[in-house]
Amino acid sequence: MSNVTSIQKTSSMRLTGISIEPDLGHEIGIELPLTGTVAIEKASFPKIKDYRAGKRHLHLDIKRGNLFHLCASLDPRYICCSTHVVAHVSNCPFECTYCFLQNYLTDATLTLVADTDAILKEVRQMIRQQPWRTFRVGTWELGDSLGNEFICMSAKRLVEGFSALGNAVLKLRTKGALVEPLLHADHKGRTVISWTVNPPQVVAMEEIGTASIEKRITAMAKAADAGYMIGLHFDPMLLFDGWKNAYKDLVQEIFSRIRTSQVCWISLGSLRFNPEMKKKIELNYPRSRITAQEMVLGDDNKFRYVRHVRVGMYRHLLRCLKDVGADRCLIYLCMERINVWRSLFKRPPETIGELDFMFARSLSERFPSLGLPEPELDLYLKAADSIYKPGLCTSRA
Amino acid sequence: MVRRTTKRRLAVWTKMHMIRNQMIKRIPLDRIMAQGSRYALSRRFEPFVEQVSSGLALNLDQAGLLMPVLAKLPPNNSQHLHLIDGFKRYQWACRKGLSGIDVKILAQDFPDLKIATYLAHEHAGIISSTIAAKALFITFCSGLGLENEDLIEIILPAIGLPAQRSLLDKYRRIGALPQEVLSFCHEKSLSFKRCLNLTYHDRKLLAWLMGYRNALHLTATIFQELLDAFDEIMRRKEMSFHDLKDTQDISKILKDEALSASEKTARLRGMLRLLRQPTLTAINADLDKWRCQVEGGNQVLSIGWDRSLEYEHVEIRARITDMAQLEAVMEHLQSDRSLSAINKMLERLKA
Repeated sequence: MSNVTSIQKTSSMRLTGISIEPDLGHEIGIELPLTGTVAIEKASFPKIKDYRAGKRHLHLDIKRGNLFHLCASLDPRYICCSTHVVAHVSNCPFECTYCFLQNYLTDATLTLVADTDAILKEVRQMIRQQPWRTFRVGTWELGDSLGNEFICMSAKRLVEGFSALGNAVLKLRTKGALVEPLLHADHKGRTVISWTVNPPQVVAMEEIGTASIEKRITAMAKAADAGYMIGLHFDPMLLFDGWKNAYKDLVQEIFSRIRTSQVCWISLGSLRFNPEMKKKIELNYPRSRITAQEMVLGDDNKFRYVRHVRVGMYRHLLRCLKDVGADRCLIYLCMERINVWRSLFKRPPETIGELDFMFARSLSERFPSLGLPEPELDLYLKAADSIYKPGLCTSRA
Repeated sequence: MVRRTTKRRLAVWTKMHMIRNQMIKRIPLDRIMAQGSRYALSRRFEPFVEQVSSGLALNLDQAGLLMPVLAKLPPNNSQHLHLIDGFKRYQWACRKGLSGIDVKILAQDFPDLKIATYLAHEHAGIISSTIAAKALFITFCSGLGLENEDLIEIILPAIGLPAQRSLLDKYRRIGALPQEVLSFCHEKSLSFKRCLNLTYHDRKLLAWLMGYRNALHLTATIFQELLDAFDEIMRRKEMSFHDLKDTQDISKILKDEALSASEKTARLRGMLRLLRQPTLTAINADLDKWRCQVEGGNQVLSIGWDRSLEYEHVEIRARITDMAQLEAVMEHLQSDRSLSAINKMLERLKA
């Protein structure tokens, strides 16, 4: 009962309207009673331009074109995780000051492709072409994987759909705490629920409308108890007074509730944004000071903290993770060049293909009951070479 | 909507002919309000243009006043006409001590929208010359109390801008910049984007920095750079504008009489760079020191690195024209002093 109450509160606080594409069938399973006073109508795409207004109107859409692709932030000059994504969510009910969506979306309507059968059909077709590969398929590219779950159980349907796929795991990523709809889903271990985590002071200042870190960790524990693999993303790490202790406390808090054996991977990344975004952030969030730090413009046209500072931050976090035994999990960097990897890891991946292989190997070795394909390095390297220009990752390091 | 707008524009232009057909009367100068006139567009543009151009003054001296000025009867029963157009002629007449001048008088109920449109047309040269001038004219029109709809549909197209609400808002922001900053924008013909960027800075900071315009070497780029730097430092250190301007190092540089404008600007930029980029500045300073040690006055050798510190390599270049130079360079690089400095550079570049 208490859960339903909070769901009602959450939905009525954030959404002012819901529209459902007329062509969308009734099988999407919208939980109408949970939406409280929010107006629901059958209507075509509303196309809301304003970024904030768009977050308040959820449009449930039909699938239009292909949604399955490689993560768009992949850049061959950096060692990236080369995850695949299903871009079925656009915009996000949460409002993080550093979010790139504020400078990215031309149509800001919070949109969810609710036709999960069609999505799963496309995923099946795609992964069948490379049966040797373990696909990691995320749904968070342009929004939060679980941000709309209280209305439309699309994540739950994806979880159940992925449980029957032989060579893929589903990656859900959220800053929320609503996992209840997933706890009784038949996931067969094939879903990773990941949380983006930051110390409480960052959550309070920069991650508006998201669940507190305490609630996220509680949700994490529930998901772990329900047998899900857990992913952690310390990304973006932010610099602020007392950041060292704050991140140390955060790591200790998480691993006091979660066993390292349940965590399949941990990513580390630091704040980054392009020059246009800088102005957007300052205009949209004048109280935020994240853009006022010492930063340099990388050759991918993104501002980052100075490399020496970034490496110092990562090194500190790695030490904290090691202290709690989390170094047994696969730890990787997001959007960093090979020289940064080399500063931090004894045996870093030298190419994007090698990192892709390391993910598959880690899953296969640490979670053998999943029955994922035995990874072969050559196949991953060849596949990556056919997509990215070989050598670009390392030539300028 | 389009038809209605077109009709409204047509009506305004038709009414402009009415201005040309108004009656002309000789009016004593003391019955004409120039300084306090609500239509004193030229007063707003004063910082942008010379008071009375010498050419016009010469013409008036030779031929006298051939054209009447334009004024409007005041809304109350005041005896003073509000001067609309002909401020320079009026000033000339005052200086000459004339008792009165010919005035084309508009009735009390003559719409301000039509007057604004007339002025846009008559002063198109100066109004359309820069973004700042357009912004100033829009501010002037807003000050007349024109409706937003009129400003968008009539005034913006009259000064060559598309009829867009968002554009009006942005021009209003620009028009609200401190007068001295607006003059700077006009003088430097700053682009729309640059002018708009200035509006995001603290007005006090803008006015304060512009107050040092003569003491510093302020180009548009340097002005923006200094503003960005001050803004970033204030936000990072949670300083108020007053704290910032009273910072001893800053005021010391700005008030140093012994420094030229260029020297002052260079020192200020250097100091701000240090405050803004302490890590980069410190590491690059170390690297520069060792670079000098390696180059050692050697004219053919240059040592470089990525100053953003993203990459860790040191570039060693030699420009040689004969083999003897190559041997000398190789020998120089293999000296203990050079090897030690290069090693230190590589170590410093590692994170």
